[in-house]
Amino acid sequence: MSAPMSTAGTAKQWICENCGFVYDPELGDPDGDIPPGTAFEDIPDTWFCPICGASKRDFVPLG
Amino acid sequence: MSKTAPPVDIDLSSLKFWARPYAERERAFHWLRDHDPVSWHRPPEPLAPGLENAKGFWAIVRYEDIKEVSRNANVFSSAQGVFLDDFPQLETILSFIVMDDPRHQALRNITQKAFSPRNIRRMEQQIDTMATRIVDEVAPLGKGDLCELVFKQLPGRVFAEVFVGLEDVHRREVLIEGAEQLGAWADPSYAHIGPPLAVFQDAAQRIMKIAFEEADRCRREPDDNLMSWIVRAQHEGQAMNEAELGAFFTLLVGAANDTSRHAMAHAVLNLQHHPDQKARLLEDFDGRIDGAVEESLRWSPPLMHFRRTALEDFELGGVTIKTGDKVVLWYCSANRDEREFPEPDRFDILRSPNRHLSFGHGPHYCMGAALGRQMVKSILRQFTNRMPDLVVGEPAMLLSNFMNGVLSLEGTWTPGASSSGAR
Repeated sequence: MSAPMSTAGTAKQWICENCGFVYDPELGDPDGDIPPGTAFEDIPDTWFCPICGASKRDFVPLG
Repeated sequence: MSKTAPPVDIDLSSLKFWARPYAERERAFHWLRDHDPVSWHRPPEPLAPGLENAKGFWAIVRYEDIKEVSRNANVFSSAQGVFLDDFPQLETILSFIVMDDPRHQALRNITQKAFSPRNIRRMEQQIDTMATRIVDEVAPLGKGDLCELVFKQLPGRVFAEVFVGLEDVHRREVLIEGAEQLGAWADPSYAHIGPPLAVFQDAAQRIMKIAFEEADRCRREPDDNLMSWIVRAQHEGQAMNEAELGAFFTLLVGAANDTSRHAMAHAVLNLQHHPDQKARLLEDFDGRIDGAVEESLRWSPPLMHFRRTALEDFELGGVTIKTGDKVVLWYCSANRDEREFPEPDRFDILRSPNRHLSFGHGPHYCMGAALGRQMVKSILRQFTNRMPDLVVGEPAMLLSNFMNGVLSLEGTWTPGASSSGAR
């Protein structure tokens, strides 16, 4: 069994300003090919919000 | 905040207010945004005898305030009703939109993937093909009510055929007509059925009959469609009893069909009312259609409000909202808030950013937003290519404080041929 992916340093959540969806790096976005443990900064620019379809630049850091 | 007299009579509780033209109502909301952004209103007038409303409500009209309430779902609950009017019996049929997390999210997750922007992008060609077939039937006619001929048909067929796998035309029509009736419970054209609640329940019963039949079919012959997912979820711990299953399906039918048809009608009207913007769209249809759809949704949100109920005291805009108070979020007002949208009364298909609240915000953000957007795009593409001289008349509007609905929209165009060669 492989070791669980570390989430150290990736815990910062980002919120979609359009719909309010919160990107949690611990969960990633598996349906969008973003594995758990991926920091928001490491997501490709072509990724979009899984709820409303807004682009990555529509997200801001949460809190 | 100075309390100068409002330019128009503002009584959101009165049906007379909702019978006024949209632009006139917007002047009232404009005044509230500037002078009384969190205002208290008397209980709404009943839609029919026996539907009296006991409580007044707070009207939230500014963009940022509505976002704040929407995000705070732990404080502002959906479980005690989502309409300005109290409809406790009606709301038992509305499934997860009248629930809070975690149950709300658990039920939503069952079908979320089917309606995700990612999945709808995959379905773009399929939806375009359905729009093409409908316009194949309509283009040769040269005139007619576009609501009946087109705007009801596309969401009805997409939902029934693509999502449910329902090929029988008669049963598909039951869903389409049922969805229309669900959204028009207070409209006089349904008064022969009974009072508004009876109108709603009558539609829901017919939709649920199909839901139960389809659920049985999917238990016997599982498929990769929405009902199969719902039935499978029943066996995977998200237990829904039969009544909940029926309510869940009814909600999807209503949401998928009715709001989309109004969005399409408004898009056609808005482009006709703003010929400069229509010309801009035609200069670069593929490059500007997304912006045109967003601006039309901002300008004419199909749903004008949803309601929440405060579970604890909350300070907003210098006002204390008390535990148990009804809080109504006026999306139609937020979309014209000059604090968010520069020159909000200018219809501009190139507006960017355009983060309107027509689909709500936060955990209850509309699950069908991507599908709705795609259907509006597909229909505008068809009309542009196949009925380019389409002219529509004045719409017949639904009397409602909830749905910004277009009941009928007569159009004329040069009768055209069928689809060969059309994009």
